[in-house]
This record gives sequence, C-alpha cells and structure tokens, in this order.
Amino acid sequence: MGEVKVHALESIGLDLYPGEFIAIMGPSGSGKSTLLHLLAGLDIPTAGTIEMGQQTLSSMSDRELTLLRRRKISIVFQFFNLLPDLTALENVALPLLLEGKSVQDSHAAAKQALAWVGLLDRETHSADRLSGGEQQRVAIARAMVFQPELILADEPTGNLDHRTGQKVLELLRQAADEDEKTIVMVTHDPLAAVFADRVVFLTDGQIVDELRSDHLTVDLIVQAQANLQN
Amino acid sequence: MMPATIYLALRQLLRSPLRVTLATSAVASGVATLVAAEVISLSVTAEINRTAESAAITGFMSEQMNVGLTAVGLVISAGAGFLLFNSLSMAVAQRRSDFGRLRAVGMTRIQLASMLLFEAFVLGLIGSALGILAGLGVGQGLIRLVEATSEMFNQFGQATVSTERLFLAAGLGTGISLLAAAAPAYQVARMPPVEALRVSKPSGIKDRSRRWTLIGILCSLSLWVYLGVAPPGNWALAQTANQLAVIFVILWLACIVMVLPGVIDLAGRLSRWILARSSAGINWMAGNNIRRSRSRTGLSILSLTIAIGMIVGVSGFMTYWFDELFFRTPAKSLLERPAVGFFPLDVENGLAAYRDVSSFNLPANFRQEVEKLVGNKGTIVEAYFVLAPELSFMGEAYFSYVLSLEDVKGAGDFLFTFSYGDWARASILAEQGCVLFLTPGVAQRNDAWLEDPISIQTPTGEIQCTIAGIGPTNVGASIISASALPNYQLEAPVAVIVFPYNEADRTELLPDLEALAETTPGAWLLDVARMTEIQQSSMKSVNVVMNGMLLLAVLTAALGIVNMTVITIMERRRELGILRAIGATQDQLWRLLTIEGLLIGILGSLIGTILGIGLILLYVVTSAGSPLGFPDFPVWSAAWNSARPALSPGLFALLTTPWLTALSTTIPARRLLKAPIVGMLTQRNEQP
Repeated sequence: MGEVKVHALESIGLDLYPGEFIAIMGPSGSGKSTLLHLLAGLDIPTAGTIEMGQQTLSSMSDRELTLLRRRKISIVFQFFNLLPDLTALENVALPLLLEGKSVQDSHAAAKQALAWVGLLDRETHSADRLSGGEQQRVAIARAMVFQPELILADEPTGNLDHRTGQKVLELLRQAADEDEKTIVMVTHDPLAAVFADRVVFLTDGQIVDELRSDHLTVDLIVQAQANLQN
Repeated sequence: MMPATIYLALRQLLRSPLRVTLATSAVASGVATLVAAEVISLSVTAEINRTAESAAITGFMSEQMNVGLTAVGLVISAGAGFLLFNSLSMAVAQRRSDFGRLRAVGMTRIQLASMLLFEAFVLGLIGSALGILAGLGVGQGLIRLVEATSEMFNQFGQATVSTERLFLAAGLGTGISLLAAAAPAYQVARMPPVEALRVSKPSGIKDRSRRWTLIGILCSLSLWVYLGVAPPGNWALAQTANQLAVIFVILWLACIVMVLPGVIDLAGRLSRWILARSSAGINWMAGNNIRRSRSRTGLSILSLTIAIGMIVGVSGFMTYWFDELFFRTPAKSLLERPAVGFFPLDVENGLAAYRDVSSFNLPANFRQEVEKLVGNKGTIVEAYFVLAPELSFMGEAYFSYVLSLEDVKGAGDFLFTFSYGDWARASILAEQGCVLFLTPGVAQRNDAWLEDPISIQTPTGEIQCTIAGIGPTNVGASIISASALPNYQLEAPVAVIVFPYNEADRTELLPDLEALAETTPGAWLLDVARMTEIQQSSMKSVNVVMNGMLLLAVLTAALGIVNMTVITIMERRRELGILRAIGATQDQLWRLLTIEGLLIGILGSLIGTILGIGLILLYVVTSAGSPLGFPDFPVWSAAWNSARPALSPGLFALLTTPWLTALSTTIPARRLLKAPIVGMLTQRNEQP
C-alpha cells in the first residue's frame, strides 16, 4: 500500500490587516494549528502562497523565515513555552539577544514589555516559579518585545482559568488596538473568540464560515459553531 | 513463545540504535582493555621466559605490566558502567509514560524491572563480544607500536590470551551492565503507574545545597595543609606509608567528587558572565545549560576527569618510580664511578636479544678472567640473580641478587645504602652465616627488622638469613649474601660489573675489557650507565602501552558524552524548538551546543589534570622513598620533579579534549536542528 496524502488545508484564502484581531475556530483536526504554523513560517505549504507585505513566505529559506519570525511574527503558545531556567526578564529579552542587541538594550526593552503586561516586579523570577497566568503574560511580553507586525496565538487561554484568561485576552486586544498589531488567535472557546474583530470557522481544512461584527457576542459565535455541526 | 518482557526489551533496543551503539561501545572498551592487557603481557612473557634465569630476572616486568593494565581495564569498565547507568537512567526518565502505560495494561513491577535488566544484559553481551575482538586487535596494535618505538621492547613473542581472561572480561562486561541497570530497574519497579503516566515538566536550575561543595573544599584544604606541614614521607615506613597513600588517594577523589557540582555551578555562572559580555546572541545560555543538568554533566565530566587524571597520574607515577626511586642512587653513583658490565646477552638489542639466548649466565670462572685484566684499577662485582618470593620487591616474581659482601661494599652506593645498620655490624653478622640487605618494604612484609632472621626457600631447602642492613637497594631488589650461593646451585654469574677507580683507569681498562667480550662467546660488554638509560627508556615504553590503554578510557568518556548529549538533546527538543520558533537560527543553536561541549571538555580536562597532579603529589609526599627506604628523601622536591613531566599529558588533554567533547555534542545536534520546528515543539517520546 502506498502513502495516503492528507490535505490539512485546502483552498484557503485569508487576508489579514494591521490592527485586526482574528479568531480561528473549528473542531479538532480542522486545520487551525496547521494554518497558524504556515502563517508563522514554521511549516511550508505544498501549494499556494503566503504573503506578508511584499514578502512571500513560501519561497523563503529557513534562515529568512527564522529572521522573519524573530522580527515580524511572534507566537504565543498554549503551554507558554518559556525557558524554565531563565528569568522572566531574560525570556522576554531573548528575541533581541538573538538579534545581536546588547544585553543592556535588550534588558531595557524587555523591562518595558514586562511593565506593559504588569509583571515588572517579577523580572528576576525564573519562569518555572511563575503561575500559569504570569507565564502567559511573560510570553505575550516576549511576543511584543520586538514590536512585530503579526502575533499568532495558539489557544493562549487553553491552559488558564477564566479570570486569568480574560487578562491575557485583554492584553492581546490592547496590542491590536493601541499598537496596530495583527493578532491571529486559534481557540475553541467562544468566550475568547468574542475578543476578536472577526471569527473564521474552519472545517476539514477549508474556511466554511466567517463572523465579522463590531459587536460579536458569545451567543453569535456559539450559534455559528452549532450551525457548523449541523 | 518469547516472553513479553524479552520481546519488549529487544524491540526497545532495536528502536534506539544510537543508544545501543554507544552503550555497547563503552562496554567493549572496558572488555577490550582487559583482553589487550593479557595479550601484551603474555607476549612479553613468551619472549623473555626462554630460560629460567631470564624469567626470574625479567618475569616481574610482564607480571607488573599485566597487573597495571588490568587495573586500567577495570577502571575503564567502571567508566563504561557509569555510562550505561547514565544512559539507562535517562532512558527510564524518557520512557516514563511508556512504563506507566505498560503498568496500566497489567505488567507487573518485576516484569518491568526484568525488561530493563534484560536490555542491559543484551547490551553487555554484545559489548563483551565486540570487546574481545577489539581487545585482540588493540593488543596487537599496541605491540606493533611499542616494537617500532621502544629500544627495549623491540620484539614481542607469540600474542595469546587465556580462556580464563576471556571469561573474566566477558563476565565483567555483562556483570557491569547488569549492575548499571540495577538502580534504574529498581526505580522503574517502584514508579506508581498514575505518576508515570503524567507528563513531567522540564525543570529549571535548582539551587542545591552548597554544603557538599564546602565540605569538599575544606576536605581538600585540610589534606594539603597536612601534607605540607607534616608529609608522612618524612616519618612513615613502607607499610604505613602505603596505607596512608591509599587513604589519601580515596580522600582526594572524594574531595574532588564533592567539589565537582560546585565547580560546575561556578564554571556555569562564570562562563555565562564572560559570554554575556564578550559575545552577542545567546551563547551565554551555555553556562545555564551546564548548570541545569549538573548531575548528568557531572557524570560526563567525572568520567573525563578520571580518564585524564589517570593518564596524568600514571605518567607522574612512572617518573617517580623510575627517576626518583629506582635509579636515584645508581644514577648518582655511576656519575662518580662510571662502571661497565659483562652480560650474557646484548642488552642494546632489547627483547630481540632474548631470541637466541640458550644460557642466561656468563661462562664459569669469568670473574677470574676479568680480575686478571682489572688488577688494582677497579672493583669487581659478580652478580647472581635468583627468585626468592619472600624477598620479592613487587609481587612474588621480582628477582633478588646474590652478592658477596665485599662486592656490595666495593660498589659504593650503586648496590646498597644503609638507612638502618652499618658495615661494621653487618660484617660481624655475615661471619655467622647468610645475611640480607633489604628495602624497608620487604623487611616489613616479613614482619622483620634489622638483625631479625628470615627463612628463605631455596632449591636445596630452607635457609635462615639475618637482616644486616635496611635501605635503598639497586632497583629495589633484595641482596642475599654469597654464602647462600651453594643453596641456589648457581655455577656462573649473570653479570660481572667493573667499577674503575677513576676516569684514567676506565680509559685504560676499556680496550682490554672490550677485547675480552669479543673473544668470549655469550658475553657482551655494556656501559652500566647506558644499561640504566635503556631500562629507563623501556619503562617509558610501558608508559606508551599504559597511555594507549588509557586513551580507551578517554574514548569511553567521550562516548559517555555523546550518549549524554544525544539523550539531553532529545530531551531538549522542545526547548530548542521554542528557541527556533522565536527566531534562533540553526547556526546560533549549533554554536550554543558547541560551547556547552567545549565547556564540558575544558572542565573535565582541567579537573582531570588537577586530580592527576594531586594524586602524584600526595602519593610521593606520603610514600616519599619509603618503599626503598632512602634516608633524608627530599619529599616535596621529588614530588614536584615527578609531577612536572605529567603536566605535558595534562596540557595535551586540555588542548584536545574540549574539541573532542564539542564534536561529540555537535554531531547529534546537527541532526536534530535540521528537524521541522513544529515536530520539535510537539512533546514526543523519541528515543535516540
């Protein structure tokens, strides 16, 4: 028997704009994470193109994609993905240090980012000594420190309690509103999706629905999810 | 039908080819050394044991070589055990959830532990088989190397190995593997299934208690202050000195082991500080990473430390024994009275000279021939060599001299120097019968001291001799007075040495002595100083063999590092994936891991050199000439003299090992860093 090809995504067309907050929803296996990985340049599409401004991600080398991730695209993970033996400040400063900036400059910028997420008092704490909510806020500070154009969030509240999750979503919203960042968030949670400007629904690797409203409500999103299942 | 435990164990081994290769190679190194040790020593024995006398005189060399090399083999095997333990412990940590699942579906604790033990058994068995084959090759290779480079060991006999040694080596290989698996197997058996099924979070750097480091530092300071203030070499006799040396060696090793985590921690902090200031990027994280995995890094560094410490230590030990002890008085005495000697073989020809030897004696009455030529221009010493196990300086097979009292006296310090006793009393004792001149170590081993009797077994029965003098003898060999000669039924001497009274006498005598050698079949004339030089250089050949073996120890340590790196890198997949995801290039991570490898190599070789130099210094200042009983032995200067040449292998290790460890780190890292980032970010139970 030969290999069976599975298309995780097919015929997807999605435009993202500065300052826009998009939530991507869909059942397990619908291709949400694959889409996020493609947008982050972590994965390469077998067909089609992904463009960011004038740049085409799908034709970039590994090194170019790495530099793009460092400078223009940031990722916030469900499980925070901080380095446990580094302090909060060092974790946030990492992208700048990777860029070759001086320790002083990197730490100064990291302190600003930590202050923005309200964790300046935790700067010397190692990541494994922070609570889940604090770790996710440090991860957002890390995502913001290079002032990227695009922030990708993979279930950022999936591992947090409701109250802490709300704080994290407020920060993402704030990044879109005040700093003109484009936010793409994968989530299962209508309570999280409600923070977005637009909700895109995926099923079997295809965009099947989209909600766009200035006043998204949880009910609207739940209704759309129910419609998908039917 | 194959039991499930065996099936799963074999399947697991097939799934992790790299781990199997590394572990079996480590076991193979230990087994190979044990086999090669015997191949080399039996080959020397085969060449020199052509006559009973030659066996008596030189048999100790192969015996001591076998003992030394076997000891090295045992240490390497212990290192291999270390590596296996490390590897299996990490495998247990990685396969935690697998074990949880197996327990959940009904596997008993004993089945689980047996599965791990069986894995270790198979690794040991494969490693032993490979080691036996490699040992035969390594033995032959070292024989060829020594043959090509040594003046003395220029021809070896038939290379063989005993069945007993093969069984011992294979038994040790599998035994050590099982022993290394015991603790991980116990750990697995005790693991509650629910806990095992939980995904363990990566841990950060734990601030461990610094108590052990402080104890280690205090222990080292106390040891060295004590040795500086009251070195036992100034007051202890052989037996006490040996016991104290063993205690101090163990104490020094314990101090190093206790200090090691603290040193790693300090080195991690220091390198982080330096790298953060001297280089851009994330190189400073290397300091964190070696601190974080201190226990594993520590094991790798410890393996390297022991291997390099042994190379440095053995090198210094050889210098001490052969330059500072064995040839201390002969070399000095020969400078004052440059002697020449007649020998039954062409010593210049090395072991090759033994090939045609049928008699290991000079012709009977040869002394009279020499006396006629020498007249009153020098002193003559007629030397007989016997095997008296009671008086053997090392082991049971070290030779003793049978000499006349007048000859011993006439040779000055060349043959014997009194530390206890004097010639006046010795002469009186000699009139009453057989007397002995012994080193303190030999006297103490017989529970005897000056003027005490010792019974010696001779071919004609037991004889009673009295100790007439205690002090350093020529190359440590005991001296039995010539009155025992009939008991040994020796008709002709092995050597006749002439000590001309001055340079003019020597110049005058040499042509006649050379002519005598030329006209006497089976007699060769040689400058005794040259003989000493050949003996010293031959001991350096032993060093070549030792170092060849010890390189296997370094190789085992390097395999340990590859093993540790492969497993830790697998464990760090996610961490490296995070760094890649936030913008670290492959090159940046490769550089980071290379620096980690370099740091491990630098620490291992530096601490190894310190360990080795420490071992030499403490051994010399503790034993300080006591085996031979030198009066007023210059304890610390001999220690420094012995340690100085050992700095060269230490420096060599310091310059080469970090690159070896860096290479061990970067090769597996390359593979992982090329993996897709999404895969790296996924928590998977991957086996190397």
